[in-house]
Amino acid sequence: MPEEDPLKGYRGKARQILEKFGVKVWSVVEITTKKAVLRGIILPRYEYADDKHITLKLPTGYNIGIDVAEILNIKEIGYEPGEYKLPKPEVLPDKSKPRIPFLGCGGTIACRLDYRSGAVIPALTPEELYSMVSELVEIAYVEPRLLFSLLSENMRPEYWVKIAEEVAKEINERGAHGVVLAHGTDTMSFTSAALSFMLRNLPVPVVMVGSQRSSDRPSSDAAINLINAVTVAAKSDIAEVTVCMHGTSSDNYSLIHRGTRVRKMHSSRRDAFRTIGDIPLGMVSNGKIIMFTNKYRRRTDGEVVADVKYEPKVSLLYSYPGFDPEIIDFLVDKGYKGIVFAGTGLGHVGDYLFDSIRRAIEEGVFIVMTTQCLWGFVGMNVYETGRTLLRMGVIPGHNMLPEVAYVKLMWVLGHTTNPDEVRKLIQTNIAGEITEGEPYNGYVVLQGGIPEVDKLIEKML
Amino acid sequence: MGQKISSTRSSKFDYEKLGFKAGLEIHAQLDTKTKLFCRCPAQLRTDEPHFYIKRFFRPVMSELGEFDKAMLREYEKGLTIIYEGWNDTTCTYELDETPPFPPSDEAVDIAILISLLLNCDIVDEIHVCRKNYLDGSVPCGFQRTMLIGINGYVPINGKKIGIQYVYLEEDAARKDDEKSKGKTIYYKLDRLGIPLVEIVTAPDMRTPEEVVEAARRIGLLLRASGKTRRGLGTIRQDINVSIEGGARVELKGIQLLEMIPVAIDMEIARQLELLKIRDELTKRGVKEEDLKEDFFDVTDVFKNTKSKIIKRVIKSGGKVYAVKLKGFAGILGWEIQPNRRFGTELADRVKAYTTLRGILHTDENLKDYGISDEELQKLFKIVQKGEQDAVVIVAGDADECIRALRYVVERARIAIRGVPSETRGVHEDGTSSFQRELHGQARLYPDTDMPPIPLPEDRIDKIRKSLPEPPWDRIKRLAKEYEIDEQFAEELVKEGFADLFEEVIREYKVPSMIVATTLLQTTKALSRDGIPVENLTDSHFRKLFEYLAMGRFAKEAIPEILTHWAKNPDIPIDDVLRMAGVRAMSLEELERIVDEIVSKNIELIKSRRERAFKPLMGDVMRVVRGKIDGKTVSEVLKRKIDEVLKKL
Repeated sequence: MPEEDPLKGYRGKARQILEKFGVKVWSVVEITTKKAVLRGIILPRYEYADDKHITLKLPTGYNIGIDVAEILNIKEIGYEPGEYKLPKPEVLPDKSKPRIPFLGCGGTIACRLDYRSGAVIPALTPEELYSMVSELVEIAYVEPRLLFSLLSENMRPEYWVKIAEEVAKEINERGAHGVVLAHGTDTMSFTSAALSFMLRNLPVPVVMVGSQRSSDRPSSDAAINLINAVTVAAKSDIAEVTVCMHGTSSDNYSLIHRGTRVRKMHSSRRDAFRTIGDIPLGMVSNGKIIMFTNKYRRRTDGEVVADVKYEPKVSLLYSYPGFDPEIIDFLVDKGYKGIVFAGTGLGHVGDYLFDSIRRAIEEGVFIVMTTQCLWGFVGMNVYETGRTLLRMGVIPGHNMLPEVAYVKLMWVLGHTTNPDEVRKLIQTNIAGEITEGEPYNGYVVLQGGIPEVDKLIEKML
Repeated sequence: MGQKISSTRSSKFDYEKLGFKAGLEIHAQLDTKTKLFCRCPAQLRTDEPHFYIKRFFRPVMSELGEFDKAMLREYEKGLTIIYEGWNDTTCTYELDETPPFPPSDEAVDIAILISLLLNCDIVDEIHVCRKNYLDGSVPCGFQRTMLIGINGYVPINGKKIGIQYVYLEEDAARKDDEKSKGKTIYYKLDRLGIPLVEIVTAPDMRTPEEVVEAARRIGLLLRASGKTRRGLGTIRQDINVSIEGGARVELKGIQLLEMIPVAIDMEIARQLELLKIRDELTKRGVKEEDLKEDFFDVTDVFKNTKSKIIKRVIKSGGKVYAVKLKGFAGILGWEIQPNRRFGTELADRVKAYTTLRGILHTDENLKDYGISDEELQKLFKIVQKGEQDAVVIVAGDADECIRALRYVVERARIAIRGVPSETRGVHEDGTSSFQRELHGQARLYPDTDMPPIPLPEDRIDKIRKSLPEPPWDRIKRLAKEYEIDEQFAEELVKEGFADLFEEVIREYKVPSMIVATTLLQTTKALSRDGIPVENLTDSHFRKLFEYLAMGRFAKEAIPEILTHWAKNPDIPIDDVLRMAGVRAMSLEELERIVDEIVSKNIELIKSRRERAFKPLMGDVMRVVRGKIDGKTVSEVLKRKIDEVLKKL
């Protein structure tokens, strides 16, 4: 563990009083207040809490905050710093099974709990993984390795490059049968899209997985998600980048989503990940994979190419009434090379942006139009606004999800800045990001309250 | 229910000599509008659920790389949990799909009020903690709980019983026994999240009578707060009992205060017998390592058995397993509570931790189960049973059998040490059976979803100023002021009816005995008959007494009215009266009165014709007001006037 502040989380008055009595976090103390004498362990303080209280863990395990103004004396009677031990798993990996590297890119899919502080500790050693999810032994020889510990929201494009290169190494140099990537859920679909473009000629499954309830909770979806993801990596023939997450609120099955068509659609539910504008590739539960389509890339013997060049100066803008055109001017002035719009409806922005858009394109900035409706295609020939935008040189993004178009434009601009080539590549399906049409059942947003729908939901275990 | 306890109970034991100590844990549901961590109504459902959600639970690894033993036990059961939810009263928080909302201020204030009533200090800052439960009773796998009050006391007979802690926590989901089967457990999510206070006393009680008195007093205080829910199961008391040389055992599920001494004595007796068993085993020289986990598949022995139980298991693909308990001959048949032997203790654990329904053993007459001598001889040979040994047999799914026998051996080993610390469920006769091992504190940890909540002094002061009078004082006052029995008065306070009682008498001048009888005895009698009286709220009773005072019905009609209203709590009282067929006056009687008044006023009708209606209506209503509704009166009067006019 790295060197930590011995008064972690304490500020102002609270910090002063701990310093005054010479005690620190994990000190076993007896605190005399104006009301009572309390024994316990001083815990790190929640970082956004006030500076007027000391957090004390009582012998019962409960925590309370003690008002600094009430404290008369603190006596240290011991010191019990955190102790971290590796478990001794009852099962060991079976090396005769197909080897599946499990690369940790952050998120809380594999972690354990510090009961005293409530802190969550990343747990990606084989010992921890096999103790926590012993079922993996039956499916594959899962080899966990931590690439980096990141909160999902701190993901950056340069890490996509690192992940792509590590995946390529695992496949080309070490002959992985498939790869599973643990990732925070917030930005998982950005990474899945980026890898879909960067990993050319992919010969094996690359499956991304996360958890919406971290694995330090008994109700976590992590174990089932992980088992299902490893199953897809080990047993499926989908040589694509996919996301494999809970399909319903129940612990029933996971859905396999194409990396360029998936999106996190709920801030907290287990079944947050949905395929947009299409049906998922398939589902997996209890070791069984059921495919819903045969339109996917199959396993091959070739080598993957990590084609990781990208242009970082690309932005994603959401269109709304009152959008200030100066935002576009600013990006142009700052040297941005590409802008993706999540336009309204069929792919529109207000006409008060036209001058700024025209200027941007004149200065060589590529502008791609997608729809903030998420479902459906942009249709820029339908209304005058769309036609005007097309005439100005805005590139229609078909039915690419805004985030996917953003990632794709970065990747394309990393390869060429020739206007014709860029325009052509953006409008060409490279990794399933553009579909030829939309199936009728590719848009299913059921509305509760309708008797038929409620009946259906009742039975959807 | 239960056996009658005479009030002059002669003590069975010398409690002081035994080193008897007891403490109480009392849980009470709070009467709040919403649940603790979401804004769903705190309301139980009787209709079929709108949807089902299936979940599995796993133990959580600690920083020490370990799993909690109690959690592992639950996990090994391999349960599938199914939650039943309702679209209009279940939200995604309750499904563990959304982080918690801040705790209900109303609930926190009530917990502070109760803590103050118990003379506690209030914590300066609340920290919500999580307590792990793997049985599925809480969908997130942990209950959110917080410490509110510490260092209080409750006075009993000149002695102070310490109140160590007052917690505020969310209630668990309700197990649906009708739907649950085998390893699939159903829970209703309606009770989940209803705020509960848990009051923990110090182990300060030295006799069963002190335990009863402390439980009674704390119960009174809770009711006196006026903020706890009424009805069966809304206040639950667990008793922690220990004797010198024995162990701390938690007795759960005692519904009636009178049962407390019986259950305590039964537990003391059990611990004493277990200690005798320990001494006997020591005398026999039995060691823990003598009890081996050598489990024998003896299915073949029983392939032609006449035993119905075993036959059924084998036929459905199950197995029969046996284990030898070295040196345990006679121990399994040793009675430790009435009709409960040491063998029952083994069976209890098997029942609690596996899906098997029990065990067979050599200290019972196995021929009663249809097992032949020949089968027994074969069995004994396989397990190499010696004269001093006992054999335990289980039948069922092979994995379950092995797990069951592992628990049997584990419990037998503990017998050599003495009494295990555990939680036991108390039966109606005061005996008890094993539920689970006592949890360690390791199951508790901070809730990282919720920042600490400071409790400023002015918030506490405001509550302190509104504290109700101590219940024991109030009982005396009620009895005197309203001329009712002290026992009645106590019950009014205990059942949480005291405020309503006083209000109704003040507002409607209903005789106090009628109010007390209705609130206490009538409701109880109806409840016994299966009428859902828990649907009746204060406002129902208020309306009832208002109408009674108006003379709309006689007091004899109250049970009938309440019956209909409890079944249809959402309809207005007039409809209830109609359903109950209640009128203080019959139509015939009304007609007679109207006839009388009309005939006295023929002259008036002649002169004023239809306009006579108004003054006559006034005359009639003066007589019948409250006994029959005005609409009926006006119809009858109009008709009678018309008849008179026609004849003119």
